[in-house]
Amino acid sequence: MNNYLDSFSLKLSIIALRAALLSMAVVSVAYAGEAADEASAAELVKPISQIEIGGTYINNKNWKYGEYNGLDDKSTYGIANIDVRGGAAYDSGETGRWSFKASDLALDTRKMSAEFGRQGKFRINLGYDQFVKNGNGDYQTPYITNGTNNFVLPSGWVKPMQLNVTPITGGANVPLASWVGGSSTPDAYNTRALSSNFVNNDLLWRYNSSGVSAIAACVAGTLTYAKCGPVERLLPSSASGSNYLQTMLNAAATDTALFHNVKIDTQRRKYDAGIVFNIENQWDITGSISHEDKTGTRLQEFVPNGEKDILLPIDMDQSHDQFNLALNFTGDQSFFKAAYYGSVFTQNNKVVTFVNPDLGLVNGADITPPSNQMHEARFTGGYNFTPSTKLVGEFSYGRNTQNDAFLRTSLIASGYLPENSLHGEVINKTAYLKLTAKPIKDLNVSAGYKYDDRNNQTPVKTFAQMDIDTVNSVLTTNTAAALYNNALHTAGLIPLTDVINTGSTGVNIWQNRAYSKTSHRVNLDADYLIVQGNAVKVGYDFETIDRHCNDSWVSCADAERTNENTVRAEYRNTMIDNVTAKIGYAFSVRNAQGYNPDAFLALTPTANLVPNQALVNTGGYSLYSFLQSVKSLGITAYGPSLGWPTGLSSSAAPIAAGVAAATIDGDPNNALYAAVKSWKAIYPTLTTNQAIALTTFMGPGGQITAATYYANGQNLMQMPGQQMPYVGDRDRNKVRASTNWQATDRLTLTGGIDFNLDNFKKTTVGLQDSKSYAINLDSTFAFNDKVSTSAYYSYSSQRQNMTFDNYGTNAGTAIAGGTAANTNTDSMIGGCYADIVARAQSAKIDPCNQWGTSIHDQNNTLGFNLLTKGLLTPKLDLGGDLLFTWAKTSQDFTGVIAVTSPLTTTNSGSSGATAWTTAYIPMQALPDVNTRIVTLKLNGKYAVDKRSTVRVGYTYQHLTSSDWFYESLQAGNTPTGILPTNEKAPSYNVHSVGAAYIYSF
Amino acid sequence: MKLTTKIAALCLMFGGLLTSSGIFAAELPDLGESSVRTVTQSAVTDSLKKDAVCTKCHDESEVKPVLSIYQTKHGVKADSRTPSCQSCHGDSDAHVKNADGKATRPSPDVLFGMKSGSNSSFPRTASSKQNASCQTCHANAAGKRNHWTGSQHESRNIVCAACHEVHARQDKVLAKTTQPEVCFNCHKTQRAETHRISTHPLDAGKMSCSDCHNPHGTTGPKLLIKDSVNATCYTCHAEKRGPLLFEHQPVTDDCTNCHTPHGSNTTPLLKARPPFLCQECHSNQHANAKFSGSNMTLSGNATNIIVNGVTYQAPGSATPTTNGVGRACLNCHALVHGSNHPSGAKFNR
Repeated sequence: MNNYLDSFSLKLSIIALRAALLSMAVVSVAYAGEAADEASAAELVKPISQIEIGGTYINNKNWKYGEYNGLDDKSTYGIANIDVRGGAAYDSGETGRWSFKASDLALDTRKMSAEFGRQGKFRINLGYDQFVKNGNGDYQTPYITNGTNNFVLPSGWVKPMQLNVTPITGGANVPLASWVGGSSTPDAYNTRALSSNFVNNDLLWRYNSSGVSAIAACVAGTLTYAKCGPVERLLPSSASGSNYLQTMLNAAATDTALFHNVKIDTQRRKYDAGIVFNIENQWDITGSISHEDKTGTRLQEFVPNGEKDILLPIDMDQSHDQFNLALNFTGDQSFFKAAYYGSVFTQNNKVVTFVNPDLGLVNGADITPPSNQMHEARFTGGYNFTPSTKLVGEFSYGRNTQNDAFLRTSLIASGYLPENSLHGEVINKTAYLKLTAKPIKDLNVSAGYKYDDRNNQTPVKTFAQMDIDTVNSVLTTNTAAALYNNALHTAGLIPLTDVINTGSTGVNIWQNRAYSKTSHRVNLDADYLIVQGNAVKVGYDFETIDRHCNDSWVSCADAERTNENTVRAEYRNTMIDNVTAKIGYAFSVRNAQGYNPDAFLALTPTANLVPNQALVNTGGYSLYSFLQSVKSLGITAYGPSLGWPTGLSSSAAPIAAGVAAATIDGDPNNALYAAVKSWKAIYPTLTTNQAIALTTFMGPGGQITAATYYANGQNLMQMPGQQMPYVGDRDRNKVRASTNWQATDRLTLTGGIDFNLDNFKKTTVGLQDSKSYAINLDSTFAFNDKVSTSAYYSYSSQRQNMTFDNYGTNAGTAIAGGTAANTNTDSMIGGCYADIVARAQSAKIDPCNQWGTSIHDQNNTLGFNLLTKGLLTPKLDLGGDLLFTWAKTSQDFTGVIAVTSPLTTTNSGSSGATAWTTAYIPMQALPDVNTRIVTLKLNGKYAVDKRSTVRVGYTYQHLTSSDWFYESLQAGNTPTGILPTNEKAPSYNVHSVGAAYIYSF
Repeated sequence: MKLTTKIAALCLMFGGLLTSSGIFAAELPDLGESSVRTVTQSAVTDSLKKDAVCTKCHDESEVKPVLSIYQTKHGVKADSRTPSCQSCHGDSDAHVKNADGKATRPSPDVLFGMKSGSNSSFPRTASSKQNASCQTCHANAAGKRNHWTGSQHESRNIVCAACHEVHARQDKVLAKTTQPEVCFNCHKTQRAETHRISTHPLDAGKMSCSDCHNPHGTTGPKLLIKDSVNATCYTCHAEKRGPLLFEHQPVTDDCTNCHTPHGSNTTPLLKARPPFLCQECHSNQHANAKFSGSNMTLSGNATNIIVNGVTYQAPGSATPTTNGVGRACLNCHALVHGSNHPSGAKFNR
């Protein structure tokens, strides 16, 4: 018999499944009753109850070890598990039985369940399940809470500041002859100062008084890097500089002392109840209800203003209620089910307020995810036309709503809200049909169809809001924003009273997008048994997905339709004795129809409006109508498709009052004359109005943008020719192969390969391809009936290749060998063009600015298991698991990157000094991220007598991670706007020992 | 409500129900007339007599317990639906009688499991025949098996007994803490993925495969319990369901556009590390910045560079870039799952 082989192969994966204590606590109770050896028949047929009491000691405190199991402290934890069962005996005329189970009662992961009923009549179950998730235990913040989610800074907080070190000689990028401190008091917010050793960071990196000669020596290679590089710092040589430096030192000392640890953990507590009730022989009612509270503390990023970031430990108070009710009919040839599902998410802590650590501004406010509901009716039915021909159908209708009040408090600065809440509504409809049949012997076929519609009926409105709502933000009239205001009002998008408000600095005008999606999917399958032991299966899938937005003024979908065809083939072989094998291949082609690089425009209603002609001349065009009109010229997208004409400065802002085209053409003194002439020289077919519009709509980076006159508008675009991978054209290959060889009665070997290759064949930038494969090898071997072992090894590799284009502005920034004045005729080192002008005229898409990256994840997993049952004495079972996991993420690059370095100086600076300029250097690999996990588990179980068992266990787990993610979170290492959190990569060694007594009755 | 209060309330509820129903006196409430699904004591006795044909040999000495089926729902003989041994294994007359007196008896009519071959005592029973035995009762039952026929597992000849141990006191695949090891017998790539540094809490026994998948067949992809990936995720992550004022199209489309649910080297269950994950889609002038070991980290493994024919050590980065390190893009665009804030069009509110 091979029963024990089956059992042993299962044991192998136990190694992966539980933290040591939990595996001790839970599993033994569940299966101690299965110890069949020497068990009497009477013991096997009656319900066995067990109670387990014990304890375990954890020798080290670590949040990651206790991330999900709650064992995050150095402490002794109790083991308390209960499994009691009762009710009618199997051979009685009664069907009533009950059970009560509880596990981990002494831990934060406790679980209880009770079930009772009369089998065939009704069953009721009740449950409680608690779940903990620990966050990074090293997290620190200076913030303290003043009430629920109201974060303030301690009274001693001093704004961290950048030392004001204005060069006193030379121009920008010219090495200082001597650093003497700034000419004004320090004031720039800079979190890099939050370090006791900040004097070692870049805040003071400058070049010494012998800079010119030293740098020349660097270029000649006669000095070492320590002298040449930016690590050499300069201490102030003046009294004022020393004062500033002392100010910073004091501030750093004060602020760093205010950072304190906050425990980050969330708790889920779920209460549930269910019932199954048999109305009569063929009709049942089933129902369940669950309520889950989620409380605790989680980290969420907030942006006070600009590129600043604070990570705050917000208090959570939310709940999720779910309801199920179903009426079921089970017939001889058919079944039917009518069901209701409800899901109600309730957010109790809706608002988070915080003080801005840059004390020039006061408060910010943000929100947590809003409450929402979903209610669904579902009907399922099936009918057997013949014993082998069956039709199953399922239909559902669901309504998902969300209507929490918008955050409209005094913390919101100027802005227009068309509604007080979203009135969000999504209607989900699905239909599913599947027919299965066996038309001839050994041939099974099936055909399926699925319709899935997410219809987002949320009203689409125009919102004029600041990107960052900060009290005391000074609102000033923004002429550029005002360009659209009258048009917005005329279009009925905002009321007249808000025209003025939306003409303020930092106010953006957006429309929400109600994303909808409709899919149709067809599946056809045929499975044919060629000869006994040889079967082949072929299949075809077709799926079409339409994406759209209701009420959007322009298509919002990145691809309005994707069609995907898949063919599949699989061969299964059991012909060779003791060997089973199968191999399958699937190939899919997905095509995006109407890929839409302009989808972002749905967010910007201003693109469809003609600006105020009294303020700016666009030739009478809206941005969108203009783009439509010039597509014939090859201007096909909103990306950096155009360069500036020769001689036309990118800073020549073409804003001018409306002037007739004829006037401009005939007036060389007109502000737009030169620009129009230049554009016409490039595109002779342009009309004057088109040339005017082109000049007007050209963004600061040379790109055409819908929101040129609104902050960051260009950030919405994408490169011409890019297709986002989730909807882009794609070829997909999948191979699955596996074999199982039962070599002997005691030895089983299995192996398998999974291979996937996605090729995004048409996109110019972004994800190009993704390739992954996994190899899995397993073996189980039983020495005898008492000793067995198993081992497995898995290797997986996933590589993603991406390309990008770092197109830039027309500003001549990347110059080496040029002058300090950065004239546009400067030559470039490392670029593909001789000078800036040439690059600008080539649409700024410099091939030498193209770059790529390859991300490679590799994972090795090796597991061993040894299990003995009654080896030393019939009463003693021993087991052990050992697991090694190595994970490595490496990331290589191709291309060059512009860096500012004294190593690229020239002697042609206009000031006469050697210029510290910019040059291209090769992009280089990021540090590998290595993770090592070693787990050893030893378990022993000794049966004292038929009722008493003692269980002991030991677990060791070791984890190290070299994740550089955490490096920039440390005080002094952060970017200038990010408050440090001092979170560290997890690393630990944890030992645990435990013992428990099990009483069975 | 405090935890202790809730637990106390739950205990009272349990206790009240159990006490009022007379469970501890072995008296269960009768919620109506006796069901047609219950049988008389004589019928119970008859069924056990049929079982005895088998259990006189297959007794407590079996390596894998057979008799413990009487502790399970399949062993409640007073339920008219409860099978006898013959209901599932067939009458197996040849096996029982062993007319030829061979040392190894002929096979029972139906054997359950995936193994076969000369190393087995008996040939493997065809999958269809095994499953038909189970489906005698379970085929049309309205519930989790509605879509079994033609499903991924059924069409690959996976038998019920490949996962279920109906004789066991506790079927492993029906217990949250042990279910994954059953699934991982075949799904070994997923087994390895759950050992990565970022995972769902399967190891801790707080989540099981069937929280997301229904192996008996569903209308959703990958045997997910709901119609779509997102609907499945929302059963636990309902706060991300919305609808929200400003939605992120790939998020509403499919959570797996960014996440890989079985395990990842990048927390939280991400397919790649930001900012590179974000750059797969975002190529605008703000997002297309170059990040590499040459300029992004303080301790990048930078190598020397050559400028104008002169070799220099790479300068590295004096100041890490805000959108390249740490949480990268998410440093500012934190609400990447969507925002309901009027200022949240770019997910920084």
